[in-house]
Amino acid sequence: MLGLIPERSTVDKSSPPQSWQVPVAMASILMGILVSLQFRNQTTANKSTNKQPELIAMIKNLEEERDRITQELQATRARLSEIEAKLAQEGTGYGELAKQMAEARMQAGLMAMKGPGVTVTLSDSKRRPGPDEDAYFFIIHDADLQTLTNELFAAGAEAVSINDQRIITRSSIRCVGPSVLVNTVQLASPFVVKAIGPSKEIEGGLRMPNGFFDSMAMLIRSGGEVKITTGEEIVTPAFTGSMSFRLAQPVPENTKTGAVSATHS
Amino acid sequence: MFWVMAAMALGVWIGAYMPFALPPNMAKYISVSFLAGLDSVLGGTRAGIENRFNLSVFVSGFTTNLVLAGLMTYVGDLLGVEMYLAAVVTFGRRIFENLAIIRRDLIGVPPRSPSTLQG
Repeated sequence: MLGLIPERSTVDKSSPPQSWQVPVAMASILMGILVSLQFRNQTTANKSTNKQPELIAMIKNLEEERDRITQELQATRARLSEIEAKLAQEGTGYGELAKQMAEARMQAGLMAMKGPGVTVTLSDSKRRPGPDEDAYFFIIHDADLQTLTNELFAAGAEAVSINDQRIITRSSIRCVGPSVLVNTVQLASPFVVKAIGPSKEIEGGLRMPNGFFDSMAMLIRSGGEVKITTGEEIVTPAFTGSMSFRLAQPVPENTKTGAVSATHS
Repeated sequence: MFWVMAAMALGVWIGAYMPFALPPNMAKYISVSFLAGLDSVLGGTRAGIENRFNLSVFVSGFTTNLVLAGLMTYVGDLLGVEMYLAAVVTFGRRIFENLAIIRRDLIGVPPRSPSTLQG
């Protein structure tokens, strides 16, 4: 084939551009810019997906570490109460102190509690939303759990837990993607909310007109479930998270009232 | 041909150092307009080599190709039909066709027939 080439073409590579070459070259600069921008786009898109397994592994590691530390904390707390109990038995004057300590830990939610109360079970709808239905009403949201716990405490509940996560003064309930975080632990439907307290009052509070039960009407209509059981003995576990104060400091008794009016005026 | 290729390389270089990136949902439009533009560039090159280049024909062809390809992609998106594939197939075929003819023009062997695709 190469031997058949009769002569060099009329276009000399080193000659100055001919009149037709200027507009064509301009158009081809534009195409070059386009293709290179597109290439950059594709590579950055690939990079972000490549990072995912790395991040997932990181999350798994951190979760394992968190679980390990949580177990350690529980073991340490158990040992602490053992020591306290021993001290109280020995009758060395620590008895009163140990009693106060137990009372404080109970107040803080660091003790598992049992007693009569109410169990509320909330489940997402098992049905898929149809074309003219809003998916929002098919699942339990963080706000629903917030309303429920609020209502439970307002009706006199003394200890509340969501899927074995005890609600204490520093608990948070928030939404992270498809799951709900309670005390920074990921929970998913069904949510079993247990409340130790006066069952009748609590159930009445939940079923109050325009109250919690009514607010879940859309969910129930969409196939979700809200079940209230009363009259059973309930156990709410102890709070297992961290409870240290890093920035907050106690205010001396006598300056309390003055401090309140002086802040951020 | 040399100048056209040098210009494309220059464009790639400029694009690599552009301070902004294109939104990812524009990817379909960019690839279609790239094919449309490349078709015009190769068509213009071929016309230039064959000494029948006309600026008005080139500019109008370049713009209408781009606009039509973009419009087709957009309408396809609206209707849920991948209509940009039609542009991809058409321009792809014409790019190969033009490239084959340019190659023959440069070598000096005239095409056997205007629509010859193979060498």
